[in-house]
Amino acid sequence: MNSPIPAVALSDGAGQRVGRPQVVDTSVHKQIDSEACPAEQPVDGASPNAAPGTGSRRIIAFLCRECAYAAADGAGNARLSLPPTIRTVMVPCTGRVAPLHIVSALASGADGVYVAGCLEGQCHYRVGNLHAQDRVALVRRLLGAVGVEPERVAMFTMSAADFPRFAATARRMDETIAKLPRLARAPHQTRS
Amino acid sequence: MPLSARGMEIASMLDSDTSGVRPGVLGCEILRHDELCVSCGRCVSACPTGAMVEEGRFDPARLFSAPAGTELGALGAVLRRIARHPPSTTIEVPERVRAFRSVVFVAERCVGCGACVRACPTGAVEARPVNVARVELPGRSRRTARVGS
Repeated sequence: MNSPIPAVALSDGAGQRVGRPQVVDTSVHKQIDSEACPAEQPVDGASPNAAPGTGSRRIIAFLCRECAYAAADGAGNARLSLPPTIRTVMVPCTGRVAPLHIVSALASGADGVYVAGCLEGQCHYRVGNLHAQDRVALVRRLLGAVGVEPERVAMFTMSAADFPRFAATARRMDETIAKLPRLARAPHQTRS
Repeated sequence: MPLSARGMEIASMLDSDTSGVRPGVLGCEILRHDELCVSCGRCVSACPTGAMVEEGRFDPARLFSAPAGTELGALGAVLRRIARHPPSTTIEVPERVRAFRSVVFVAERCVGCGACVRACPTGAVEARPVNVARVELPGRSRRTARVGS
Protein backbone atom coordinates (compact mmCIF):
# COMPACT_ATOMS: atom_id res chain seq x y z
CA MET A 1 0.00 0.00 0.00
CA ASN A 2 3.04 2.24 -0.16
CA SER A 3 2.14 5.13 -2.36
CA PRO A 4 5.14 6.13 -4.44
CA ILE A 5 4.20 9.77 -4.11
CA PRO A 6 3.94 11.17 -0.63
CA ALA A 7 0.66 12.96 -0.12
CA VAL A 8 0.96 16.34 1.52
CA ALA A 9 -0.06 16.19 5.13
CA LEU A 10 -2.54 19.00 4.76
CA SER A 11 -3.89 18.81 8.25
CA ASP A 12 -0.74 18.69 10.35
CA GLY A 13 -0.25 22.43 10.17
CA ALA A 14 3.48 21.94 10.38
CA GLY A 15 3.86 24.16 7.38
CA GLN A 16 6.94 22.42 6.18
CA ARG A 17 7.90 22.93 2.60
CA VAL A 18 7.08 19.83 0.63
CA GLY A 19 9.41 19.16 -2.26
CA ARG A 20 7.87 18.82 -5.67
CA PRO A 21 7.06 15.11 -5.92
CA GLN A 22 7.60 13.11 -9.01
CA VAL A 23 4.96 13.23 -11.71
CA VAL A 24 2.04 10.89 -11.26
CA ASP A 25 1.49 8.60 -14.16
CA THR A 26 0.68 4.95 -14.11
CA SER A 27 0.23 4.94 -10.37
CA VAL A 28 -2.82 7.20 -10.23
CA HIS A 29 -5.10 4.27 -9.47
CA LYS A 30 -2.78 2.85 -6.86
CA GLN A 31 -2.69 6.22 -5.17
CA ILE A 32 -6.46 6.57 -5.32
CA ASP A 33 -6.87 3.20 -3.66
CA SER A 34 -4.34 3.89 -0.95
CA GLU A 35 -5.76 7.33 -0.21
CA ALA A 36 -9.40 6.28 -0.34
CA CYS A 37 -8.94 3.17 1.73
CA PRO A 38 -5.63 3.01 3.57
CA ALA A 39 -4.87 -0.31 5.20
CA GLU A 40 -4.67 1.17 8.69
CA GLN A 41 -8.05 2.89 8.39
CA PRO A 42 -10.76 0.58 7.13
CA VAL A 43 -13.58 2.41 5.44
CA ASP A 44 -16.33 0.86 7.48
CA GLY A 45 -16.54 2.04 11.03
CA ALA A 46 -14.79 5.05 12.46
CA SER A 47 -11.14 4.39 13.00
CA PRO A 48 -9.34 5.35 16.19
CA ASN A 49 -7.09 7.63 14.17
CA ALA A 50 -9.88 9.62 12.56
CA ALA A 51 -10.17 13.24 13.61
CA PRO A 52 -13.03 13.89 16.04
CA GLY A 53 -16.32 14.74 14.40
CA THR A 54 -15.34 13.48 10.99
CA GLY A 55 -16.33 9.83 11.37
CA SER A 56 -14.56 7.95 8.65
CA ARG A 57 -15.34 10.59 6.08
CA ARG A 58 -12.80 10.86 3.33
CA ILE A 59 -12.53 13.25 0.43
CA ILE A 60 -10.09 12.83 -2.40
CA ALA A 61 -8.75 15.95 -4.06
CA PHE A 62 -7.09 15.71 -7.43
CA LEU A 63 -4.76 18.69 -7.53
CA CYS A 64 -3.03 19.95 -10.62
CA ARG A 65 0.68 20.38 -10.05
CA GLU A 66 0.85 23.85 -11.51
CA CYS A 67 -1.87 25.67 -9.61
CA ALA A 68 -3.97 23.83 -7.06
CA TYR A 69 -1.10 21.83 -5.63
CA ALA A 70 0.95 24.99 -5.28
CA ALA A 71 -2.04 26.62 -3.59
CA ALA A 72 -2.29 23.65 -1.22
CA ASP A 73 1.38 24.04 -0.50
CA GLY A 74 0.83 27.71 0.22
CA ALA A 75 -2.07 26.90 2.52
CA GLY A 76 0.25 24.62 4.46
CA ASN A 77 2.93 27.29 4.65
CA ALA A 78 0.42 29.84 5.84
CA ARG A 79 -0.77 27.38 8.50
CA LEU A 80 -4.36 27.65 7.40
CA SER A 81 -6.57 25.05 8.99
CA LEU A 82 -7.88 22.48 6.60
CA PRO A 83 -10.39 19.69 7.12
CA PRO A 84 -8.55 16.49 8.07
CA THR A 85 -10.80 14.56 5.72
CA ILE A 86 -9.08 15.84 2.57
CA ARG A 87 -6.63 13.48 0.91
CA THR A 88 -4.68 14.73 -2.05
CA VAL A 89 -3.60 13.07 -5.25
CA MET A 90 -1.31 15.20 -7.34
CA VAL A 91 -1.70 15.08 -11.09
CA PRO A 92 0.41 16.89 -13.69
CA CYS A 93 -2.70 18.59 -15.02
CA THR A 94 -6.39 18.17 -14.25
CA GLY A 95 -6.73 16.97 -17.83
CA ARG A 96 -5.08 13.77 -16.58
CA VAL A 97 -8.10 12.93 -14.46
CA ALA A 98 -10.42 10.52 -16.23
CA PRO A 99 -14.03 9.76 -15.27
CA LEU A 100 -12.79 6.31 -14.21
CA HIS A 101 -10.40 7.86 -11.67
CA ILE A 102 -13.21 9.83 -10.06
CA VAL A 103 -15.67 6.94 -9.91
CA SER A 104 -12.94 4.55 -8.70
CA ALA A 105 -12.16 6.90 -5.85
CA LEU A 106 -15.82 6.86 -4.79
CA ALA A 107 -16.04 3.09 -5.16
CA SER A 108 -12.89 2.41 -3.17
CA GLY A 109 -13.90 4.41 -0.16
CA ALA A 110 -14.01 8.15 -0.78
CA ASP A 111 -17.23 9.92 0.12
CA GLY A 112 -16.46 12.86 -2.10
CA VAL A 113 -14.06 13.72 -4.86
CA TYR A 114 -13.03 17.05 -6.18
CA VAL A 115 -10.73 18.18 -8.92
CA ALA A 116 -8.87 21.45 -8.51
CA GLY A 117 -6.97 23.05 -11.33
CA CYS A 118 -5.84 26.30 -12.85
CA LEU A 119 -8.15 29.18 -13.59
CA GLU A 120 -9.96 29.02 -16.89
CA GLY A 121 -7.69 30.10 -19.69
CA GLN A 122 -4.62 29.66 -17.52
CA CYS A 123 -4.09 25.92 -17.82
CA HIS A 124 -0.39 25.28 -18.21
CA TYR A 125 -1.31 22.63 -20.76
CA ARG A 126 -3.69 24.90 -22.60
CA VAL A 127 -7.09 23.23 -22.12
CA GLY A 128 -6.60 20.48 -19.54
CA ASN A 129 -8.83 22.18 -17.00
CA LEU A 130 -11.61 22.60 -19.55
CA HIS A 131 -11.48 18.88 -20.32
CA ALA A 132 -11.55 18.17 -16.60
CA GLN A 133 -14.55 20.44 -16.17
CA ASP A 134 -16.51 18.54 -18.80
CA ARG A 135 -15.46 15.16 -17.39
CA VAL A 136 -16.56 16.20 -13.93
CA ALA A 137 -19.87 17.35 -15.39
CA LEU A 138 -20.22 13.97 -17.08
CA VAL A 139 -19.50 12.05 -13.89
CA ARG A 140 -22.03 14.18 -12.00
CA ARG A 141 -24.69 13.32 -14.55
CA LEU A 142 -23.73 9.64 -14.46
CA LEU A 143 -24.02 9.61 -10.68
CA GLY A 144 -27.37 11.37 -10.91
CA ALA A 145 -28.61 8.73 -13.32
CA VAL A 146 -27.82 5.90 -10.89
CA GLY A 147 -29.20 7.63 -7.80
CA VAL A 148 -25.99 8.91 -6.22
CA GLU A 149 -25.80 12.56 -5.15
CA PRO A 150 -23.96 14.54 -7.84
CA GLU A 151 -22.68 16.92 -5.14
CA ARG A 152 -20.14 14.27 -4.19
CA VAL A 153 -18.08 15.33 -7.18
CA ALA A 154 -16.99 18.89 -7.89
CA MET A 155 -14.49 20.93 -9.83
CA PHE A 156 -12.76 24.07 -8.60
CA THR A 157 -10.26 26.38 -10.19
CA MET A 158 -7.75 28.59 -8.45
CA SER A 159 -4.48 30.32 -9.10
CA ALA A 160 -1.24 29.07 -7.60
CA ALA A 161 -1.11 32.03 -5.25
CA ASP A 162 -4.67 31.76 -4.05
CA PHE A 163 -4.16 29.52 -1.03
CA PRO A 164 -7.05 31.05 0.96
CA ARG A 165 -9.33 29.85 -1.81
CA PHE A 166 -7.81 26.38 -1.60
CA ALA A 167 -8.58 26.25 2.11
CA ALA A 168 -12.09 27.64 1.53
CA THR A 169 -12.95 25.13 -1.20
CA ALA A 170 -11.61 22.28 0.91
CA ARG A 171 -13.80 23.34 3.82
CA ARG A 172 -16.83 23.89 1.60
CA MET A 173 -16.42 20.44 0.06
CA ASP A 174 -16.07 18.88 3.51
CA GLU A 175 -19.26 20.59 4.67
CA THR A 176 -21.14 19.46 1.58
CA ILE A 177 -20.07 15.85 2.02
CA ALA A 178 -20.79 15.91 5.76
CA LYS A 179 -24.47 16.58 5.02
CA LEU A 180 -24.82 13.61 2.68
CA PRO A 181 -25.78 10.11 3.80
CA ARG A 182 -23.18 7.37 3.69
CA LEU A 183 -22.41 5.96 0.30
CA ALA A 184 -23.14 2.25 0.17
CA ARG A 185 -20.71 0.15 -1.82
CA ALA A 186 -21.19 -3.27 -3.30
CA PRO A 187 -18.31 -5.66 -2.68
CA HIS A 188 -15.39 -5.37 -5.00
CA GLN A 189 -15.65 -7.37 -8.16
CA THR A 190 -12.58 -8.58 -9.93
CA ARG A 191 -11.60 -6.25 -12.72
CA SER A 192 -10.67 -7.89 -15.93
CA MET B 1 -26.03 18.29 -47.71
CA PRO B 2 -26.11 18.98 -51.44
CA LEU B 3 -24.41 16.62 -53.82
CA SER B 4 -21.70 17.65 -56.23
CA ALA B 5 -22.64 18.14 -59.89
CA ARG B 6 -21.40 14.70 -60.71
CA GLY B 7 -23.22 13.25 -57.78
CA MET B 8 -26.44 14.81 -59.01
CA GLU B 9 -25.76 13.41 -62.44
CA ILE B 10 -25.43 9.93 -61.05
CA ALA B 11 -28.38 10.33 -58.72
CA SER B 12 -30.55 11.49 -61.62
CA MET B 13 -29.98 8.17 -63.33
CA LEU B 14 -31.60 6.24 -60.54
CA ASP B 15 -35.23 5.27 -60.44
CA SER B 16 -37.32 8.37 -60.67
CA ASP B 17 -39.23 7.47 -57.53
CA THR B 18 -36.06 7.63 -55.47
CA SER B 19 -35.56 11.02 -53.98
CA GLY B 20 -32.08 11.65 -55.26
CA VAL B 21 -29.77 9.84 -52.93
CA ARG B 22 -30.01 6.44 -51.35
CA PRO B 23 -27.75 3.82 -49.79
CA GLY B 24 -25.17 2.34 -52.02
CA VAL B 25 -25.48 4.77 -54.91
CA LEU B 26 -21.80 4.35 -55.54
CA GLY B 27 -21.92 0.63 -55.00
CA CYS B 28 -21.09 0.19 -51.33
CA GLU B 29 -23.18 -0.63 -48.36
CA ILE B 30 -21.78 0.70 -45.10
CA LEU B 31 -21.60 -1.73 -42.19
CA ARG B 32 -20.69 -0.57 -38.72
CA HIS B 33 -19.13 -2.54 -35.91
CA ASP B 34 -20.12 -0.70 -32.77
CA GLU B 35 -17.80 -2.72 -30.56
CA LEU B 36 -14.78 -1.35 -32.43
CA CYS B 37 -15.95 2.26 -32.49
CA VAL B 38 -14.01 4.58 -30.18
CA SER B 39 -16.19 7.59 -30.99
CA CYS B 40 -13.32 9.61 -32.39
CA GLY B 41 -15.66 11.37 -34.80
CA ARG B 42 -13.37 11.12 -37.82
CA CYS B 43 -16.08 9.55 -39.95
CA VAL B 44 -18.35 12.44 -39.02
CA SER B 45 -15.94 14.99 -40.46
CA ALA B 46 -15.02 12.76 -43.39
CA CYS B 47 -18.56 12.10 -44.60
CA PRO B 48 -19.42 14.38 -47.52
CA THR B 49 -23.16 13.91 -47.23
CA GLY B 50 -23.67 14.13 -43.49
CA ALA B 51 -24.69 10.50 -43.10
CA MET B 52 -22.55 10.11 -39.97
CA VAL B 53 -24.03 12.12 -37.14
CA GLU B 54 -22.58 12.54 -33.68
CA GLU B 55 -25.05 11.74 -30.96
CA GLY B 56 -24.78 14.03 -27.93
CA ARG B 57 -26.75 11.87 -25.51
CA PHE B 58 -25.49 8.82 -23.69
CA ASP B 59 -27.39 5.98 -22.10
CA PRO B 60 -25.61 5.00 -18.86
CA ALA B 61 -27.04 1.51 -19.23
CA ARG B 62 -24.44 1.04 -21.94
CA LEU B 63 -21.74 1.17 -19.26
CA PHE B 64 -23.19 -1.85 -17.54
CA SER B 65 -23.53 -3.87 -20.71
CA ALA B 66 -20.16 -2.91 -22.20
CA PRO B 67 -17.63 -5.76 -22.26
CA ALA B 68 -14.99 -5.72 -19.51
CA GLY B 69 -11.65 -4.52 -20.73
CA THR B 70 -13.08 -1.62 -22.65
CA GLU B 71 -13.04 1.92 -21.31
CA LEU B 72 -16.80 1.95 -20.85
CA GLY B 73 -16.81 -1.53 -19.32
CA ALA B 74 -14.18 -0.59 -16.74
CA LEU B 75 -16.14 2.48 -15.73
CA GLY B 76 -19.35 0.45 -15.61
CA ALA B 77 -17.81 -2.13 -13.28
CA VAL B 78 -16.81 0.58 -10.81
CA LEU B 79 -20.00 2.60 -11.13
CA ARG B 80 -22.07 -0.52 -10.47
CA ARG B 81 -20.52 -0.76 -6.99
CA ILE B 82 -21.92 2.58 -5.88
CA ALA B 83 -25.10 2.69 -7.95
CA ARG B 84 -28.29 2.91 -5.89
CA HIS B 85 -30.50 1.84 -8.76
CA PRO B 86 -30.10 0.94 -12.43
CA PRO B 87 -29.64 3.93 -14.72
CA SER B 88 -32.95 5.73 -15.08
CA THR B 89 -32.28 8.34 -17.72
CA THR B 90 -30.01 9.11 -20.61
CA ILE B 91 -27.59 11.97 -20.01
CA GLU B 92 -26.37 14.87 -22.05
CA VAL B 93 -22.66 14.46 -22.87
CA PRO B 94 -20.57 17.60 -22.26
CA GLU B 95 -18.87 19.09 -25.27
CA ARG B 96 -15.32 17.96 -24.64
CA VAL B 97 -16.01 14.38 -23.65
CA ARG B 98 -15.46 12.40 -26.80
CA ALA B 99 -15.50 8.84 -25.59
CA PHE B 100 -19.13 8.93 -24.50
CA ARG B 101 -20.45 10.19 -27.77
CA SER B 102 -21.73 7.74 -30.29
CA VAL B 103 -21.99 8.09 -34.01
CA VAL B 104 -25.31 7.42 -35.65
CA PHE B 105 -25.43 6.30 -39.26
CA VAL B 106 -28.24 7.79 -41.30
CA ALA B 107 -28.59 5.37 -44.19
CA GLU B 108 -30.85 7.63 -46.24
CA ARG B 109 -28.07 10.17 -46.67
CA CYS B 110 -25.35 7.67 -47.54
CA VAL B 111 -24.08 7.53 -51.10
CA GLY B 112 -21.65 4.72 -50.40
CA CYS B 113 -18.49 6.67 -51.23
CA GLY B 114 -16.47 4.92 -48.53
CA ALA B 115 -14.86 8.07 -47.12
CA CYS B 116 -15.80 6.93 -43.60
CA VAL B 117 -14.10 3.59 -44.18
CA ARG B 118 -10.84 5.32 -45.05
CA ALA B 119 -11.17 7.73 -42.16
CA CYS B 120 -11.85 5.12 -39.50
CA PRO B 121 -8.73 4.30 -37.47
CA THR B 122 -10.12 1.16 -35.85
CA GLY B 123 -11.86 -0.54 -38.73
CA ALA B 124 -15.28 -0.03 -37.21
CA VAL B 125 -16.76 0.99 -40.55
CA GLU B 126 -16.75 -1.51 -43.34
CA ALA B 127 -17.89 -1.15 -46.92
CA ARG B 128 -19.45 -4.10 -48.67
CA PRO B 129 -20.20 -4.02 -52.39
CA VAL B 130 -23.90 -4.40 -52.99
CA ASN B 131 -25.59 -6.26 -55.76
CA VAL B 132 -25.51 -3.59 -58.43
CA ALA B 133 -26.47 -2.80 -61.93
CA ARG B 134 -24.03 -0.89 -64.11
CA VAL B 135 -25.00 2.38 -65.63
CA GLU B 136 -23.11 4.11 -68.38
CA LEU B 137 -21.97 7.48 -67.18
CA PRO B 138 -22.10 10.37 -69.59
CA GLY B 139 -18.95 12.21 -70.50
CA ARG B 140 -16.48 9.56 -69.51
CA SER B 141 -16.05 6.64 -71.79
CA ARG B 142 -15.49 3.19 -70.32
CA ARG B 143 -16.29 4.28 -66.82
CA THR B 144 -19.34 3.13 -65.05
CA ALA B 145 -20.94 3.76 -61.74
CA ARG B 146 -22.40 0.88 -59.87
CA VAL B 147 -25.92 1.71 -58.96
CA GLY B 148 -27.64 0.04 -56.09
CA SER B 149 -30.00 -2.76 -57.00
